[in-house]
Amino acid sequence: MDNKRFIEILSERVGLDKGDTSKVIGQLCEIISETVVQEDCVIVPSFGNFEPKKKLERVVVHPSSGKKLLVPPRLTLGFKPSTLLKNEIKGM
Amino acid sequence: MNNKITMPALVALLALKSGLSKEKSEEFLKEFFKLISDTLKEGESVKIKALGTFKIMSVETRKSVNVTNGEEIVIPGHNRIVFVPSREIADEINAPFSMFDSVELNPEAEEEIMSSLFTEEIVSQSEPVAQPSLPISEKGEEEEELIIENEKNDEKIIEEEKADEEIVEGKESGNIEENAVDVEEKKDIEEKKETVEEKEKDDNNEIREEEEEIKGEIDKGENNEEEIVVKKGKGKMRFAMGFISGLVAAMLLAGAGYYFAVYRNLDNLENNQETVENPADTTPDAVKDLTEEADGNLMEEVQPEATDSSAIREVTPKEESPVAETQPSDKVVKDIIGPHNYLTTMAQRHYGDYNLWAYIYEENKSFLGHPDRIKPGTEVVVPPLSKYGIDPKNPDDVKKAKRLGIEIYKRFK
Repeated sequence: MDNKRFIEILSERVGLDKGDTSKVIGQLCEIISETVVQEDCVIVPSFGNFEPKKKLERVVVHPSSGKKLLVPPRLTLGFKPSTLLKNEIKGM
Repeated sequence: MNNKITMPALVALLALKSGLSKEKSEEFLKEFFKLISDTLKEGESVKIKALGTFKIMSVETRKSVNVTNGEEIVIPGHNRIVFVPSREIADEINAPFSMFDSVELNPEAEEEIMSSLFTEEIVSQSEPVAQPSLPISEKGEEEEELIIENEKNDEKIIEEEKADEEIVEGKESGNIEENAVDVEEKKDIEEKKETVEEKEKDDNNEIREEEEEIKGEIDKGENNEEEIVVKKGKGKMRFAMGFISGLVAAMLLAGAGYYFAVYRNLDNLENNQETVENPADTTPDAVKDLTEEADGNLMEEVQPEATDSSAIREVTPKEESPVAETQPSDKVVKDIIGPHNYLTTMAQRHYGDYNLWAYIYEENKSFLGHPDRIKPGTEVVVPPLSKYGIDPKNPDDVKKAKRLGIEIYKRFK
């Protein structure tokens, strides 16, 4: 399901028009990213947690040229599904 | 940090941001996450432009070992959720590390880079220190030896000197060239001398003279203070800086020494002026000695050894110490922030203590943001420490710098 379809369905369910829905989604995502930037974690019950993940630097080998590259450390947005959701998906 | 934003807090934040009522935003949030999980349960992936993509990945059946009893178990195949953050959100979160780029590694350089990444400070301290200490110690020995040898025959001394210089040659080529010139000159002069007593005195004086010449010419050089610092063996970091600029100074010395020698041979008067111009030869006695020597007026040498040497010994510490103390901190230096050059590494390099980074930050705070998020390529002014009245060797001042650092971080909370 792509972004457009997702907004369509969500606007029907919530009762807002598509423009507003997409705006609020944008704002929600901003809140999540702002929170995670401060190394806080967003907990959504029965869905999962959004939390910052630190990836350590590592050495990789370029598959075609065979050169070694040092990949720098980075922070990413990690999502950890709640046990409930995880188990439901698992059993599919 | 490590705070947990739960549903009620999220609702409040969203209501504030979107202007929706709390009930409405709560409903929105519930529907939003419910729609995602519903879609996922149908086996479909969900793409939300601003956040990222939730996907379902199937994991194949695989064998594993039970950690507690070591029995082999089979993990049945299942599905799991994978979340890939969108480009924008990933960049935003990675902002603190955004200045890093993938670096290509040479097989040989690999270890070097790895070690420099982990122990950057240790390397920067220890590496250059070991090298410059060699010439210093040898130089000191050389000078000591010379003074002792004065009592023996002059010819012997010259031989010994030469031998000593040859040992040092590999390390301080500039100085040696100059010394060699002086030794040759000495020989010429000494050939003219007849009396043994006078020879001894001459030699003694000449060695002193030579020392003085070196010091005088050091003062001429641009990087004189570092050279002197190297001699004195002060701070470790000063050693490192001094070693590089010391080499430059050594080159200058070689040139100056040659110039000096040529003048001496050509015209005695010019030579006199040269020596007077030397900043280190401010003691009148020393200047007198030099000019007398150069003129070959050996008969007039009536000054006893004791006063001669004491005069010089007085000169050296007085001349050296203020130069070494003040000059490095009086310069206004600029430096550029880079992937491996932070405020702390700058402070370590320029001040000898990384804790003093706070003062570099203070000097440039008008255009710097968060101290951990300065863009590479930003040019900052490294202020002289005297501006803030800070002495890197004073533990109280270092403590003060640490407190200032903490204060700076507090501004961005």
